[in-house]
Amino acid sequence: MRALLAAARALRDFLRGFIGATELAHDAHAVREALALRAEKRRGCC
Amino acid sequence: MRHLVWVLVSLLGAGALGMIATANDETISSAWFLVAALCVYAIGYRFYSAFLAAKAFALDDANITPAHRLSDRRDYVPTNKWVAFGHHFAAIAGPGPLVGPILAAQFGYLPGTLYILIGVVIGGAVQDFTILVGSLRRDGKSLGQMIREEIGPVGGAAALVGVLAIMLILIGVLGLVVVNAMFGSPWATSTVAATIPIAIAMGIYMVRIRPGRVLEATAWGLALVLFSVVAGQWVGESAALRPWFDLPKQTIALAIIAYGFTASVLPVWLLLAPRDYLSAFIKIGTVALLAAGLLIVQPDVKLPALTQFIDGSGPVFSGKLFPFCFITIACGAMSGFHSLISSGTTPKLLDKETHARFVGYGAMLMESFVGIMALMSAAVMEPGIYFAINSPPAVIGTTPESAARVISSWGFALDPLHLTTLTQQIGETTLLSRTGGAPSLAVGMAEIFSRALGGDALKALWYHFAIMFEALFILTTLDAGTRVGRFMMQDLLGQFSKTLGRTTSLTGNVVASALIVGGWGYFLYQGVIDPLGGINTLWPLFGIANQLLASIALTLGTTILLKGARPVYAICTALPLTWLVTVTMTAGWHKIWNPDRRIGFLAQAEHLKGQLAAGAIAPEKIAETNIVIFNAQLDAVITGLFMAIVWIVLLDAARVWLRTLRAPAAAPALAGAQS
Repeated sequence: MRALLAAARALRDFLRGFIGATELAHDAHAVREALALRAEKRRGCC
Repeated sequence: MRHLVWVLVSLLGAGALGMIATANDETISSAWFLVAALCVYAIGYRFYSAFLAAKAFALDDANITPAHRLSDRRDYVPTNKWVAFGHHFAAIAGPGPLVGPILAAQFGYLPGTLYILIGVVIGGAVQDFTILVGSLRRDGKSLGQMIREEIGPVGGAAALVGVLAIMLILIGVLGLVVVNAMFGSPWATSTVAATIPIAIAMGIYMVRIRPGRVLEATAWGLALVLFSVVAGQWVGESAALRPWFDLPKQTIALAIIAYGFTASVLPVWLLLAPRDYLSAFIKIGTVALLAAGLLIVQPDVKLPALTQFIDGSGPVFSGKLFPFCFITIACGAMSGFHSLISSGTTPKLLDKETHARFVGYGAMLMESFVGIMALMSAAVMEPGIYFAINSPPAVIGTTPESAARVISSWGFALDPLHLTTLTQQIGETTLLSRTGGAPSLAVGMAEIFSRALGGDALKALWYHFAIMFEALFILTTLDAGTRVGRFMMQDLLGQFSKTLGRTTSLTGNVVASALIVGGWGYFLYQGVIDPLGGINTLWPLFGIANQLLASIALTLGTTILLKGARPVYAICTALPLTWLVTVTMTAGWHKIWNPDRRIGFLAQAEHLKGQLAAGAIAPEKIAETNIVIFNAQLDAVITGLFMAIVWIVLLDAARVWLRTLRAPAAAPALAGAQS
């Protein structure tokens, strides 16, 4: 059972690395923040 | 007990290899190939990679990796071993191991199988592992930087030019494989085209509408892609929609060039990242499906162990078994391209030094397994069908009857009715001369998938799913490669103009993207108008370029090991290096000077010049023929340039080797900065 769980965790981590979903979410937030900052600057509020 | 397990694995592997090698005219189950491969990989990983890790590199977790030492939570990030493995495998898994073994199947299944298995264990995986460890101990430095520092500025400059030129050839040739896959197939073209707006919609959704909601975007993005596979059939059957997607090769090539340029210029979140992310699901899902299909169906291999085409008369591409089989297989056994990844993002991610063995050596074994599965897809097809799909019309004619006549004369039975039925079953108008490797891989995969699920009724769907998978696979390499090339070009342009060098500058972005896309677009277009079929001309050029880059990487690896504490282990990289230099220099020589015009670029140019002089070319074809003559001469020059670059790096390195061997007390280089 423990070995099965370890294998499932390894597969999940492998897919996480292969697909890069974490980076995509991170990038999406970063872009969103950058766009919001730019819009605020354009409005002259900061 | 543990020893007994390894003895059993060795015996099983030896038995499976014995079955494969001695099954002359008998049919043999593909399961034997999978067993042989898995046993060879297990033994290679358990013993050879452990030997390299312990003896040659002396990996030690007491050495702190750059991911910790230089951690910036952006490029340098300590990463879980499995995540790093997944990331590294995704980056190295290009379409090379899918297409190369399919093309090399014209020699029979045996040479390809043996080279993929032996080549990866003692060559390809060693290269990836060595460069990864080298970069890991040098703060994650790139291949070019390491060559400059370990060998010298001349070798470094030559390597930089070589890497850029090789990338252009690589992307151009891969683009050609997509063109050949989509030509005459509106179903495939419409499905692949649909992924672009879907990706853009996903990008906008994840950034503007529901920031960071990757799971939601994934769910509907994937559903739309799968729907587009089904809808492609309606497009193919619709009189109104079909003409929009049933395009000539030149138009498809121009569309791919336009896509590459757009993906490079647009913000990465809008098109490239979501499209590549979407592709990752299809890629890993399909590869897993193929492995499961092969295991469940265990189809018999119908291709002979060796064909008569080892003499160089092959219809798929010209040239003898040696050296052309080995440069054709390319990425399934060894790939220079991987050294760019092993000295790129991966060394900046490793949490512990010992993870380099699992990630560097292990991921390459997995890539090789993809190559074996691709080879199986070709080998389980009727050989007659394989040659009908992969031979150009100049050889087999344009009707099933003419193809059957020619192919039967080679000793491979081909029933025209069987070919016509298969063509109808997979929903195509023709399967004849669909060169490039992608369509035959799709037919093989559809054959395996449909036998596991759905039977003949779903064969068309599986075929187009496979074509979409291949096109997505290739376009991922094409768009990401173009963007990386753009950054390299901006690095170069930055020496002359600060604006052009800034990655945030629109002018710099557009100029560098145009230069890179123009470079590979030229080769792509050249392949499309090539009268011999672009694959015949350009795949060997791609193979030579890729393997020469591997030679450069192994030269660096040998230098690093020689300068290290245990120079005797430099033999581990020097051996595959010697083999690669022999293979690629021989192939390069043939591609330039061979008097057979199907092999030698210069012979082809001379032949066409003679035809022009004799007035044998129709007036409307004269301009195109002049272009083809120029292209053949250009390809000869490029091959010569690649060979010269490798000699420059090798000779520069030999100078360092001699100096190091004469002064054996030099500081150990592989031990790196932290030890």
